[in-house]
Amino acid sequence: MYRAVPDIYPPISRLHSGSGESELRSAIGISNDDPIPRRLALALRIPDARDPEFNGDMARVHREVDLVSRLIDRDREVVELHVEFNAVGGQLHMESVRDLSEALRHQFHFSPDPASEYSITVDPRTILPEQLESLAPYGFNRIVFQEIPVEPAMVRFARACGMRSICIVAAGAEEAIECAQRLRPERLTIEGPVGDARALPGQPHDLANCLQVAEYLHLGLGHYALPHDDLATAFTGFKLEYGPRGFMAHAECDVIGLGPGSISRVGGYLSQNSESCAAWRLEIDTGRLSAHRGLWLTCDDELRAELMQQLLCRREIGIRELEQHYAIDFRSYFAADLSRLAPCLRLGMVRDSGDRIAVCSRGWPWLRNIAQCFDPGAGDGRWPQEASPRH
Amino acid sequence: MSRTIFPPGSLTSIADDGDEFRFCSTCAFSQACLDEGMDKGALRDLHILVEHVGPFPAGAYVFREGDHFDAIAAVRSGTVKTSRFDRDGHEQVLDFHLPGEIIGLSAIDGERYPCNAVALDRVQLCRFSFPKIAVLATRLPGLQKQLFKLLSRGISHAEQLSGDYSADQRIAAFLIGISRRLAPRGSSADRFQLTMPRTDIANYLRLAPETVSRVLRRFQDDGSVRVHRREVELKDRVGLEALAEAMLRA
Repeated sequence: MYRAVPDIYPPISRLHSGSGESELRSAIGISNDDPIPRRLALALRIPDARDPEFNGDMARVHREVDLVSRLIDRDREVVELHVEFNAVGGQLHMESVRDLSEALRHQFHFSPDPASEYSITVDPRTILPEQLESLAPYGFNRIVFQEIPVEPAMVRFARACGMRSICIVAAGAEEAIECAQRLRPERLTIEGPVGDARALPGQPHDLANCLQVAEYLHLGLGHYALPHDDLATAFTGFKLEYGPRGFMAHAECDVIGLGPGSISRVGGYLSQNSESCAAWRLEIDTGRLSAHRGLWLTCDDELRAELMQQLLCRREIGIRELEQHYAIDFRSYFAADLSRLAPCLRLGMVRDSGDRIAVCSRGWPWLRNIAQCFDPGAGDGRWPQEASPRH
Repeated sequence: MSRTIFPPGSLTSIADDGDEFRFCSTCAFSQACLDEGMDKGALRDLHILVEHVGPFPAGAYVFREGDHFDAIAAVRSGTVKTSRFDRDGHEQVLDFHLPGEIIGLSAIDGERYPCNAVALDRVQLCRFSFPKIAVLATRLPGLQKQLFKLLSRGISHAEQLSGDYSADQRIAAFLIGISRRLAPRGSSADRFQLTMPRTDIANYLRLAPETVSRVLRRFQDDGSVRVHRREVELKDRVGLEALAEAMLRA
């Protein structure tokens, strides 16, 4: 399975179908014409290798790379690349990885900066040592182990092969704590209900404490990193960003999604490729981009997205900063949102000091809920009854 | 004083549009006429000649090279680009016209517009019949002075750009120039949107688009500017002015 789509603002549920393909083209055109066009993050979701159509699908991914790259000015650097194979239990097709990597480097201009993030998701149960060895020559410097168990020897070997960071995706709290102690990956992601503070009151705190003892920094929303890791230094240097792929060490990138269901965010336009393989194949085969639904952000969307960025990545809202930048009166503009936030203030999860609202340590596990107070469309799902915050 | 960020977005208010008795706040001629002691009511004759046109969507032509010249227009909102195509079909950007500025002045000595004018975003204009404003100008020395001032601005621009200046000087002069043109209209002088694409900026400054971005990125790295998408914030105005000085003085 692919990793779940992270919460972003505006939420993906607000995208509407229609002219996504022409809109994405024009969004890319506009972004090329910015005074300093943004750098690029490419996020590829490769269709299932066990599908009989896999070879055809890889050809389509190449076609999509070609279609998109033609629209993008050549002086725009790629600083992040994330390749995800949807192949649980399947073998990594090294020829496919090599060809894809060559095509990407031929069509795009990759930054030589070693802090760039070029990652690939692999299944540790089926990966072979020689495959791990060839990832660095193909240009990858980070690896994501999607499944457990990962052996300590495999982690050591991956590091020796030039992987600058290793991320392990754990399915639960115990697994995460065990991984942290035994494997010391640079990054740990806890997926599912444990990473989500709403489901298990009390437990996220224990998890955070245990991982903190193991020297992991909590980035938020179930993501942890060792202090020397690029994500952790981006966090402490206020350069972290939360995008369509979760936390990113490079702020202010245009994100280009390739493959079925992938998400793009180019300038003020957010779009998603068709999720069904059949629809995606048809679109690519007819020479179209697969962005079947999308949304142009309004000024209000941009403002709220910026506010959520600050909450998730800096754990505070810089009120003066937003007021100056968007020419608003914060208290009156966000009056309804602030009344939704009032319980969090009373519970000591956030502190309002006038020119900033900061999330206190007891509020960290509830970051998602706090952020949702500023989403007018979030409805009543903010505080599920079984998980009301404890005093 | 709180100043609006150019161009006004939907979170902020739109510039005053005026009415039958008051000028639009962006009108290029209002000050010249008011200096003459004439308000809009007294200028009913002129007012009849003033026609609000638009909105033009981005990419729409306001006029084309060779069109019959009968009116000059003041930009009420948006940005207009004027350009010419050479024999090989290459575009040469002549100027950008911001709110309060006049387009069509370079046509004054002929019967036809010598260039194209294209809306870069949503543009609204105020059109003046040229023969009538010219007659009025003979009666109002202030208005005539204003016309000549606007005319000479266009000429000095072209001279500046043909000089031997570095990319850094050109870009600093461009930013300072935009800032100085926006400030008198109540827009922030230190924060504004560049409403024109970088290819047009590059063409206007006689630079490659990559050079424009590279220099701006260097300005950003050394703290002189902060660029966020189309928005530019001048952080070190003094430094930029020093860099731009030689070119702006020319």
